[in-house]
Amino acid sequence: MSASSESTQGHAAHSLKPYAYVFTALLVLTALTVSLSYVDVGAVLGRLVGGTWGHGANIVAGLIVAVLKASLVVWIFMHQDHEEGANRFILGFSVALMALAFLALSTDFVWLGTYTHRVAGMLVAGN
Amino acid sequence: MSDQQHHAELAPSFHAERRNLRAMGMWLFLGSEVMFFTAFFGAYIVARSASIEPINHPLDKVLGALNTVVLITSSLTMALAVAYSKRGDRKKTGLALLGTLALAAMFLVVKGFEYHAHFAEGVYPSSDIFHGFYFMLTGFHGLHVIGGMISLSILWYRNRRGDFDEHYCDPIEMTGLYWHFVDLVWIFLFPALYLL
Repeated sequence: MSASSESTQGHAAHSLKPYAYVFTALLVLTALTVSLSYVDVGAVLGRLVGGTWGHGANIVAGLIVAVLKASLVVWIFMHQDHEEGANRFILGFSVALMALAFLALSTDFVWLGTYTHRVAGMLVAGN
Repeated sequence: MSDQQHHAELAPSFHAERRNLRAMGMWLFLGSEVMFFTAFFGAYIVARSASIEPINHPLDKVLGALNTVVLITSSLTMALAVAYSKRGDRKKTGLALLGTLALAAMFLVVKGFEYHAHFAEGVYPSSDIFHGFYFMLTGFHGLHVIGGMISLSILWYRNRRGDFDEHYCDPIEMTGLYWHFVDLVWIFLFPALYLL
């Protein structure tokens, strides 16, 4: 087995230990995200650092844990830690496009959200 | 000359080049899959933020968490199948592929029980906005699981037949990339639908 093929393929019989670590970490993070769903993260943050956070804090906390889990899967299980530059670029570009799509959407859903909730408030108030 | 002898005679750099080109094709496919699910997640985000009806999280968190553990475990067995096939260990590769298949089937069985419970309660995709998205997102994800199971079955058969060795196991590695992607989608679907 030549050095060049090892560097791109990880063909060498390397240790399986990283898989066990990642698997354990994924289980722990799953337990964490389920536990977080029973906690009002916004209220905890308010007590710790002040301010009002609302349900958004739970959503952000849940997404952070999901991104952590996804990174572990992509990096270790999908071997992006020693993937070719071009293949890394494809993944990076897809994720960037996804982020751009959500950013573009935010102009719509931030406005829609405030609008529909204002209308709902007016309906409840009987105006 | 058998395929196996043929592969063994080729220069190692040839195997690396062929593998890298196949990986590029797979990553491009997964890139298009990312955009496919981005569209549905985007629509879900808009619907959630604009919806007047509050979402009361009608789904069973325990079953969702169970299925998360099942898929994570199947990702582990898939990673092991790829690692064993690169070592040329045909027997362990076959066992790891079978394990992945069994866990995939278990995921679908749990999902089937959930769907059955919804229908028994008279909850359908048309019931409300949330369930429309729930059935669409989990439905497309479930189709991806079924597609993966078909690939895994073919790989198991080909591995048993002796198509793969340490020089040539690209199909197992590429199916592995796809299978991990199916796990990735669920890693975001579970909190988005069951928890948040």
